[in-house]
Amino acid sequence: MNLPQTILVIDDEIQIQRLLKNSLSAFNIDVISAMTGAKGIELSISSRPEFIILDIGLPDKSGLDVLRELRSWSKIPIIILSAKDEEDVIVFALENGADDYMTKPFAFRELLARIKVTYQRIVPEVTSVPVFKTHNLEVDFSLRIVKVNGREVFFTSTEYDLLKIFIKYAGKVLTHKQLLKEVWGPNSVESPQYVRVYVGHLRQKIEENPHQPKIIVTETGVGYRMVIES
Amino acid sequence: MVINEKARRILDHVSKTESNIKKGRLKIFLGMVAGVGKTYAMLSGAKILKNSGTNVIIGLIETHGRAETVHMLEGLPLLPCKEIQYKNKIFKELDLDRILTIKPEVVLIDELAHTNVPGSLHEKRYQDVLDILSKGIDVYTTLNVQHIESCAGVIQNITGVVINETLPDTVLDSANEIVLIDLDPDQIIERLKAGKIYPKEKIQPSLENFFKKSNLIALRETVLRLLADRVNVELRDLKVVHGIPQIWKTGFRILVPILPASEGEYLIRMTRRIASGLNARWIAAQVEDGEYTKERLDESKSLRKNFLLAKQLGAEAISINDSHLFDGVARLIKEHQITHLVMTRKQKSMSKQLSLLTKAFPEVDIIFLSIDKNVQTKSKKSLWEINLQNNSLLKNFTLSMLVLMIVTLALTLLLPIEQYPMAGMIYLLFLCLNSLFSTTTVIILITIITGLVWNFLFIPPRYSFHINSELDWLTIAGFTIISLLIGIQTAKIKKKERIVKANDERLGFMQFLTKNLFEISHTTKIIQLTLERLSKNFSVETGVILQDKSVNEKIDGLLIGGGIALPPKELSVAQWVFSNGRSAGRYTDTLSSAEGMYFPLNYKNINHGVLCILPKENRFDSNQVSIFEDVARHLALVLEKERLEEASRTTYIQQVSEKIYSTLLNSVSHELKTPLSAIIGAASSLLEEEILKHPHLVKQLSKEIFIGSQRMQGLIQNLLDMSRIEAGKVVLKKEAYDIMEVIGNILSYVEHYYPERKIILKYPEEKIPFVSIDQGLMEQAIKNIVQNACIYTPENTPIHITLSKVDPFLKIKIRDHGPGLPVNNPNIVFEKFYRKDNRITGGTGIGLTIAKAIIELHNGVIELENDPEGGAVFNIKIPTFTNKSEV
Repeated sequence: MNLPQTILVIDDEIQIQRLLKNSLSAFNIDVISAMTGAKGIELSISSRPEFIILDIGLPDKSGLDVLRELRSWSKIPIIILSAKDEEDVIVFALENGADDYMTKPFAFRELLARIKVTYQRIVPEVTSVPVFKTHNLEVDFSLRIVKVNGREVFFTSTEYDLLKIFIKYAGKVLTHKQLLKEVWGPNSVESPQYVRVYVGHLRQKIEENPHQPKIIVTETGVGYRMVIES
Repeated sequence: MVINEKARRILDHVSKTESNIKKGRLKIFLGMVAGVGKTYAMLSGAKILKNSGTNVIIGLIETHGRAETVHMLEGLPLLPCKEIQYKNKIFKELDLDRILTIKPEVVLIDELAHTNVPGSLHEKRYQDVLDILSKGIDVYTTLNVQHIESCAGVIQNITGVVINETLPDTVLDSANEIVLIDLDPDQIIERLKAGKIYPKEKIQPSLENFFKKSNLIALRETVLRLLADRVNVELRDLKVVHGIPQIWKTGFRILVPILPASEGEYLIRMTRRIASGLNARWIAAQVEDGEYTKERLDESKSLRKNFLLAKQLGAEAISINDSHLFDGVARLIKEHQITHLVMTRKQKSMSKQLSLLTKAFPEVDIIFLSIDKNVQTKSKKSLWEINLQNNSLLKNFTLSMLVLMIVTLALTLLLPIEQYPMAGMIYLLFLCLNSLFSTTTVIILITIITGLVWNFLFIPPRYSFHINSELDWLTIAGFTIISLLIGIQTAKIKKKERIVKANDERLGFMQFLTKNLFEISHTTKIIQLTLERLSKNFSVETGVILQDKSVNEKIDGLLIGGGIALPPKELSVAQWVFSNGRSAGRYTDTLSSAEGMYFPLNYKNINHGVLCILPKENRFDSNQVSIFEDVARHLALVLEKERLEEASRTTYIQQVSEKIYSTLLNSVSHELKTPLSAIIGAASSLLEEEILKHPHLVKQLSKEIFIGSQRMQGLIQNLLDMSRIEAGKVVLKKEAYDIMEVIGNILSYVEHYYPERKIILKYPEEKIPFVSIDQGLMEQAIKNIVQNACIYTPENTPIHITLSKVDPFLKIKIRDHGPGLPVNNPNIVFEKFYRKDNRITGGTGIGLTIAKAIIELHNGVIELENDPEGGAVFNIKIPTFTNKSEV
């Protein structure tokens, strides 16, 4: 199991702090607690955590501000854990450097899974692995071959690029804007319909039932996420 | 200028189209003479409508016994006429009320120009029709060309037949559709001879009079011309709307002075024809000399009417102040670069000014219109006004004569005979004084009479008009000239003075109204003050009836101010004024038999009520009437202001309650979600195999679930408490308690939930008195305050709780080291859902609200202040327990 050793939890709710501290300790993760944004930034420098769980509603400043401040100098994986469930806020957080987002109330198992995925993605570069496998999908990057259920499927270059991005950020939510920027370049960010069209194509090719996708799932109002089989 | 003109025309067009939406459509079947088949055409049109499912009824029809027409009536519902008794005869008139109640889609009303029998609501049938139209009902009607005012004169001249019933051209102008029923004159004569138009005995006389072929041809020409003009104007309006340029090809500018009465109306109508013929702009100007006399009441009313007419007909209607008509006209010619001036023959008699005008403006063409006799007839004055005028002149003259007689008697008795020049001096004095109180006519008359009396009684030889000495001749001549000069001059000054006074009066009143509007916020008060002032200034009784808020189309019958009670008949006049938005009552066209005058309080088509003016004496001048109108407009504005304020208040309340609602939702959902997160998080952790391996973790996580549930319970309790307190349903279970027990519970609460917070408790050495409290609620209140301090102040700062005795209270002072309370309005923290900076964290924003409510339920006091060294201070005072306070 590849999990971080120390996690900094920036949350003003003492109960959440205690809960995370206790639960994560079972997985040998040290939790450092910060009740305010300022304290959180301070601890992120002094205690060198490997991972950060950040709340948005903090008493001294908004968690989004803390996020931007952290991102100005650090690539440390950050998961937002907040009671705020407005899509705008989620998209904003993701586009400003959050690696993932979870709304409260949350199930511990899922949080743990997200922590794992996010942490793994940062540690080894996925694209450096020549063959990627999940569900019935198999991608060989060195040969540029995509196989579904063992049979080779033709992918246009755009579709292939899009798939590559999903694999690169597997497990992470990608906003429409982020996908556009990565695949079509920074000038296309105003036309999210491209993404929807090509995600549709991808699903037609890789999903068993394109209307009930299992690999590329929709995060309503936010974007898409590639789910990897554990 | 042209752009303005264009904009105005487009606007006119729009408002015409718009008002068409609201108003009913008027369709006129126009003919040149009786018997061309107008009624027949109207009925066949109605039948087509009826067959297509439209609700058509016949309001009134005159078949004249014509068989063809009677036959056409079949299948159309006929409304019974209203029977009105007048001078022992029964007249059948249109039943206006029935039509307005039935509200058909289309109503047929024959003979638009008909004059109603006295005692009807309106003088003329077309006024009934206008009422019907204003209620959104379409009207089909018939009309003969000779009844149109601007055509009547011409036709009277041609045919020699006197035309009594006429109809203003505006009605024709307001028609949405005019259908010309044209028939060849020969055919008309044929129809007449065949008995299809009149009964036998009338055929021959008709043929010799009105139905002469030459007459018929002339009538036909008149009606065709009229329609051609109308088409012209319509085309022009259309061009403006569709942006076709070059409307004023000619660059002519026509000026017409606005004169009173039908003469002025005629002048305006003719000028409009000339203007549209020349394709020219035209300006109608009212020159006001500011003279307001009783005789001019009618005049100024008709002036106003004509002013509006000119505006309606497309003139640039302006009103200027100048002491003389011609001076004003000269000024306008210069200012507006007038090319044509339209005048009447009557004005031509003022030849001196006119020649001056032509000299000053040789380039201006002057068009003289002859005024037909029937147009020239002065507008009717009510009987009483003529009496009043004669009365006042007569009274004035009689009074002056009486004084003259007394003076003369005194002189003959007291003055030695040789002192007759002295008598002259005294007479002069009398005349001077007389001129202060009399009109010009009386002054001149009295001056001449006095001269004669002096001559007859005093100048030798006495008792004859003969004068002996030349010196006496000179004296009497000088006397007469001086007296006349003084008298006339005084009269002039007085006239000016009257103007100034009238203006002052009006100005003063307007000032008063405006001042009120700004200084007094209470509408009823403004209305009352205004009415009081009106009653005081004009010796009238006044009142305002407001709209009945529950029944929008009705007034509520309650009078504000004045204290007059309106009899039902007057009230119905007021209701009419309210429903129709036009003034009515005495001195108006409508319901003139009423006692009072009624003005609608109308602002932009919204009626707010009616201003009622009941004269105490039979006397109004036009200045006063226009002040009443101003007042009505002003009050409408005041009421409109109130209406808008109320509307904005309602909106504000809605906004605020929406805000409260969303704040509540936000805070409650956040407050519920937080402990819920802990519960779900902990519960889901307990499902992990890895965690179950560590018993101490299981215990810890179970505790989290418990604490979270407790918090949710607390929140729900708070919400319930609040609603119970608000509903007044809280019953205190008061008992004598040691406050330390309560404080102790709070200390352990803080220890448990905010272990990092330090609380410094201070209490006096002596025994703390018991307090009479509901322990649970009081604990809740103090806990809320302390918890608030825990949430909003820095973690490393202490919270002080200090107890002291301040008879008859126990004082609990809670102080923190946080940012303090809002300086401007510390009590805002007690407001429901108030949260510092609207933050997400922290409580629901009801904790302090509840605390305050609970403490006040205990007859306690909670006061706020900021500590000089920083931090907020809550001072709670709770009554101490005495035997008396024991329940």
